[in-house]
Amino acid sequence: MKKILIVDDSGLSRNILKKLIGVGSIEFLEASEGFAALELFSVHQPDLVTLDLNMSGMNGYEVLENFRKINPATPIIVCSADIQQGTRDLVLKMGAKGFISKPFKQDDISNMIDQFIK
Amino acid sequence: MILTQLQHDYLTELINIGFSRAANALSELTGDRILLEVPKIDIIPIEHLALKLNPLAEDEITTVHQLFKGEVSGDAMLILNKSGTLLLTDLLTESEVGTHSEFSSSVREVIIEVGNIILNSCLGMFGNLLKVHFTFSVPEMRIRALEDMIISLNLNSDEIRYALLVFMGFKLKESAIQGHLVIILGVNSLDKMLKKVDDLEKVMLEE
Repeated sequence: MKKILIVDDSGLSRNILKKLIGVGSIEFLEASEGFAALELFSVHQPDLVTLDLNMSGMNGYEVLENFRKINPATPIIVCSADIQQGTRDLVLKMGAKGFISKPFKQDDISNMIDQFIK
Repeated sequence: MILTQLQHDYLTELINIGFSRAANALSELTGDRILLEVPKIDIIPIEHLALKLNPLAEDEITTVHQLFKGEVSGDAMLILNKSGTLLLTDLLTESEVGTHSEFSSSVREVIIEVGNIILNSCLGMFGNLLKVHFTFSVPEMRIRALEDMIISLNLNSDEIRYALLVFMGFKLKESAIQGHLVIILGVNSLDKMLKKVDDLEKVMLEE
């Protein structure tokens, strides 16, 4: 069973993302803040991570940096409402494999799953 | 009025999306990336507004406000203190920090545009995601004491009114700007808005 780690401080966004990905043979791991995300990432070694940027405490950039140190091979997709080109460029430069804007669109999520999970 | 945990989470994400859209518009305007803080929200009776806004207020505050009408109606305001207003003008006009020291016409012009972008991005996203259509008045900027602004909110209404208070912070060119977005709603409009917020997950999945 493939594992997807969803990191987002909003329960709304985590729920929507899970529903748009669909059930199938996927195990969802969820974290609402950075430290919990790092622990889940280390222990469960997910096949894919979706990562929000604008979070209290450890923000998404720091979490991304730490994920890359722990396992640079895991694909990380940044999911954010911050659609500035500079933000997109920065996270891709930091090693994210993709960027999906909020509010989520089914096509974007389906493409992500096709590319990284199937 | 106490929000449920779910309503608080949904409203915060809604504001986050709207505020992020505003940052994108400002970034395109300036060519600089804007770093966003997580917005913090609260719903309070308007009588409590002075207490909540007091730490922000110096001698005068700047408000850019727009009335909005529709199924949900109210008064939306961007509130900045004087130093924040002048610093933001310096940054957006690519002037040296400290260039604008008084409320000149160029300050007014810049801040009305910023207010317009932030208010429309946030309320526009509210409208789109909550499936409510708003019409907006022309944005107006006022400079006054916090107490005078609060008094003006209490005029012309017998209805009990609440404020959706959003603390927002962002960084532009390494300088921190802090302000508040305040949306004043009558109890009926607030009730309608919260019912829409309760259905937000369903609506966003149908998009």
